[in-house]
Amino acid sequence: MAKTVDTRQSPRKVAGETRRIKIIRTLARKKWVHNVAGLVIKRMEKRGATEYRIAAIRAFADDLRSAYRKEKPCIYTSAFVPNELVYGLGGVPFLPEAASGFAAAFGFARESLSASESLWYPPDLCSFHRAGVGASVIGLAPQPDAVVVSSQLCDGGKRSLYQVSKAFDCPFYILDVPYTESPESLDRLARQIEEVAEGLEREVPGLSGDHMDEAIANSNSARSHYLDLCDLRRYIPSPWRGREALNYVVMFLWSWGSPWLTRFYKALKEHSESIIQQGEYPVKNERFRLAWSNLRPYYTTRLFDYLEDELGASIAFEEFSYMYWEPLDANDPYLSLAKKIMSNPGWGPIERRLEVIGKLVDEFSIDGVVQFAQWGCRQYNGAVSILSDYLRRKGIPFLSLAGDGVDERNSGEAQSLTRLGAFLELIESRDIRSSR
Amino acid sequence: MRTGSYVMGIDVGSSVTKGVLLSDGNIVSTFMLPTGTELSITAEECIEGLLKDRGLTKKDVLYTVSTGYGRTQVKEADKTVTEITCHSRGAKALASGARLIIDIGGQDSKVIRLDEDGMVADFVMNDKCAAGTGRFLEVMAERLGVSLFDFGRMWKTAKRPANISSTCTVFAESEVISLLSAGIALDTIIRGLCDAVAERLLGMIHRVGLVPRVVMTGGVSKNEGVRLSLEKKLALKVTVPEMSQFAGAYGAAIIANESAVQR
Amino acid sequence: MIHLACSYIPYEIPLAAGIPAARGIFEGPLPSMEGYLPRDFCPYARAFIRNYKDDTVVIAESCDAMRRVYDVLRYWNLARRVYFVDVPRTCNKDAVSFYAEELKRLAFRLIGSQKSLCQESKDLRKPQGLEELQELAELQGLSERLMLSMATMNEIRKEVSQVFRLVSKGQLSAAKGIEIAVGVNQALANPGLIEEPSAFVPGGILTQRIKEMTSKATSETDPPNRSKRRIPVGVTGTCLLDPSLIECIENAGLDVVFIDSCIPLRTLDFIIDIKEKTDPFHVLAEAYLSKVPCPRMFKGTARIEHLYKLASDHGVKGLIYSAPKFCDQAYYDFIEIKHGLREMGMGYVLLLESDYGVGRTGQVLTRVEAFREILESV
Ligand SMILES: Nc1ncnc2c1ncn2[C@@H]1O[C@H](COP(=O)(O)OP(=O)(O)OP(=O)(O)O)[C@@H](O)[C@H]1O
Ligand code: SF4
Ligand code: SF4
Ligand SMILES: [Mg+2]
Repeated sequence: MAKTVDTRQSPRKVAGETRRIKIIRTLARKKWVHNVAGLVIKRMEKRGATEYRIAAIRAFADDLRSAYRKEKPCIYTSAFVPNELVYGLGGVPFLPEAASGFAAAFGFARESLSASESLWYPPDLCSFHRAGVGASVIGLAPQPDAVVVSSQLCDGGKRSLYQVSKAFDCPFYILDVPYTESPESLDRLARQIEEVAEGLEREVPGLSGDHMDEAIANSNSARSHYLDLCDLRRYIPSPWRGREALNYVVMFLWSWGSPWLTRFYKALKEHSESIIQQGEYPVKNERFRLAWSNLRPYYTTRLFDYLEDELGASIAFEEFSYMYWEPLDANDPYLSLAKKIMSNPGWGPIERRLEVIGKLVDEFSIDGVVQFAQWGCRQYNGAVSILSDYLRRKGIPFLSLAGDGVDERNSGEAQSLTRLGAFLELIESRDIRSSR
Repeated sequence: MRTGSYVMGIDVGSSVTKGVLLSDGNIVSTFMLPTGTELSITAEECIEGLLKDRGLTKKDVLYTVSTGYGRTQVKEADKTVTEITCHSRGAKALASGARLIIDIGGQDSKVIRLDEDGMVADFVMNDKCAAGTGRFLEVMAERLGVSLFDFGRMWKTAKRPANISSTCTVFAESEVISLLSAGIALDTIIRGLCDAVAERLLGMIHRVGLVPRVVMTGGVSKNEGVRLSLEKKLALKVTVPEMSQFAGAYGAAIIANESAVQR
Repeated sequence: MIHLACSYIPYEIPLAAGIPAARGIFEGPLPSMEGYLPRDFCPYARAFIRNYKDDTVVIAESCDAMRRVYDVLRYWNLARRVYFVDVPRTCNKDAVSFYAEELKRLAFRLIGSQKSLCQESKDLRKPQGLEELQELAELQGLSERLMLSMATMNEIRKEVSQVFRLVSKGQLSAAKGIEIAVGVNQALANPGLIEEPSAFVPGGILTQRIKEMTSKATSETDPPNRSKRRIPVGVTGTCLLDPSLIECIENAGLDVVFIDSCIPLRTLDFIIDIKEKTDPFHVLAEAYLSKVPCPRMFKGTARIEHLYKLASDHGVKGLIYSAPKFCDQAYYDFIEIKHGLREMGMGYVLLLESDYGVGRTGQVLTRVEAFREILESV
């Protein structure tokens, strides 16, 4: 039976609690709304909506229902916390950083950002974190029962979620991830993961480690379908639109260990196969193949129409979609999750990242690399000088495209379009020169 | 204290220098002029302007308080006080019961919250560039070929605001250009600009905490469009006193009056 | 010479090895080095980028910015050797033993590099011949030397604490205090001193020199005109970039009575409890991880409680938070402190975004003066 549903107001008086938000946050917690959503999804299915899309929508609808209606404990995690842990304990994960992308896509970014601003978060911080905090305090996001962060990659991720745990007065756990891989550092991390699991079991009613084997198995089977999908994406022209792939990065960040990720990647794999068989490629006239680093603007933007349809450039692969870990071992779940965390190429010396990007360039026949320079992202923007030099030596053009994935105020679309256009002209002139 | 003796408040702002002359606590003269490159000369001219009006000389002035970004350049000043304190004093005197003061000048915007006793409890200032300030609106008005005085009228004729997300002058300019080329009506764009400025203020307002009565001061308070956007977003009435642009100078003069009494 | 990037890297290790080492303190980013990091990056990190030529640099896992500095220095070969110290963010048993190992590795490498045993310019995460280096370290009696250098650093830190006691009593200006702390940092990098055989020994030449320096510096300054004491405030933040902000605050008519920032307090204001017969690296690791926490740590409420105590012990009326522009750690820390202290009944916290020379800008002066006007009225 569902516990009483808390439409709790934000813990502090903040900006952004407009009438619209108040209505949405109430609706999100109503049973009938979720029932209606279920029916709508069924209808979409009947009307022949693409299978992988339905799989994704249904999965999120289910998880969000569990979280909003408190059917299962909702655990906030930062990107790169292995969510096998959360699913394995019988909870549902919620990633505020990724949810910021949803907020932007559905037009709630402004309210979320204003909320964070009124709590003193300055606009110089990465908007994925600001909007994530904002959306949680105005009640747009489900209420957390606990927060787990990993210290990896951006400082903002862990810090912002720490503040959320304070605002909601719920348990907070940090995985203090060592910087380099060694037997000792793996052990230390594995012990931490185990302690977090124990802590969660103890502190959060409704969590128990009974499902851990299942979550590990789910993760592994999804992984193998995913690898098949990656192979298909090498195909020229691309069987999948990059703008969509950049949306579905959210699955890659969010859903490992879930019962449905396998279904999703399998459907997507089959979809890509049929695209290739039928020769109906999404980018009609693929002239360039790009690799894309970091995320994208999630609000309405002309960027991708311009890139894919007008300029004929496919985003063939994304750095964030790179599969970096080995299959997990159900006999030693914590150690293998520790290994998964530690093999993230964004962590550790930059050479690890360069190696991956170099590999993507070769494997996906890439003509140019675009890094979306998210405003406030120290992690990726700090490496621009190195990345551009590395790619220059490899003979691959590189563009650092300034913008903001969530906060429209930080991006000038007109400038971005010009830059992209010029970048592709550069690639083209190079191709002409080399073909002479 | 001698009766009929005068005190002065001089606000050397980044765009406009303003002066207020008090006698027995009552305003007897005001003066303003654009701030030049030599701040001390501008201040001098402002003082002259204030006094000439009344046929007075500097000797008639008991006490002078200067404020504003050029406050230290006023030779006649007996004391300098920041705009934060001066605007709150001025606003309180111009609109009794004021609790939240929004001062938007040419270069800075400030939001000040007063406590129940009317003392400054917290304040924030915009950082960086001219994002969302008077200067920003001037550049945009020029770009659109519209007078700043028409903003209020056009705001009211607009059916909806255009979506302008940026208050950074560079980004907003390109947004405005693409709106124009998309054939969006001028009044819609104007209202969008006012909304963008108000949106920016909203964050600052909520940082210090929203409490009515909300009072606007500084030159941009005279921009009716900005006021209307802000009122709509806050769902609150925003008071703009007649002498709002002089609030800082008036506050400085009030402090001068108190200091003169203490002397 | 060794350039240190964070207060969590112990001076004791280079001192024991007889290598001059100092925390990097700069006047601002070098224009010629501006291309390596983007402009929307913390000024300290940008200033840290320079050509260190034959010197060694030790970076810590401080923050995103410093991880990138580590990459840039190596990738562009801006130093002979660049080492990385992985500082945990927590301070439990596991973290301490992990950090002890990390420090041991650093020590062996520093000794090896001095003996030219390690030639590599890049970080050797898996150094070859670690056993060989360990042998060498044992040969040199590294453990004993470390014990002594800890005692020596204790003496030096006590000396600095004395200086800041004068500051908090209003007998010395805070800007002068910073100047002295910077002087101590420089002394630790002075080859003439550090390479002296007795430098690392308590009561040795180094402590003597530093004592001379501080007593000279504190006596020669005319005591600030504090006949009527002004309003006391504390300063906190991540890296205090330069003294300009402190000078600005003092010029605005406030007394800075403590500075809880990388330099001085968090680097030079703690004492190591030296337990004989324990592994010196363990002692060091424990001491550094449990010193006054910096905003990068995750130690629950330890930092806010520490600040509250500092504030009430010194009777400050307000706190000024200096956040280097684009320092995410500082921004988030500020939010926590602003809300946390308000709940504890301390409402006056001013945020100043800082940069090199920020204290000389009109905007900052206006803010600080307005803050003083608020404090005067309560
Ligand atoms: N009637 C008006 N309508 C619209 N805008 C106006 C009007 N009068 C003045 N302004 C604007 O107000 C600004 C000047 O205001 P103010 O005198 O408060 O600035 P300031 O004090 O010099 O600047 P700051 O406080 O930033 O240093 C100018 O940018 C001007 O465009
Ligand atoms: S603020 Fe903290 S992390 Fe940053 S350099 Fe100082 S001690 Fe290191
Ligand atoms: S100021 Fe902040 S961002 Fe810069 S080095 Fe220190 S902790 Fe890192
Ligand atoms: Mg002004």
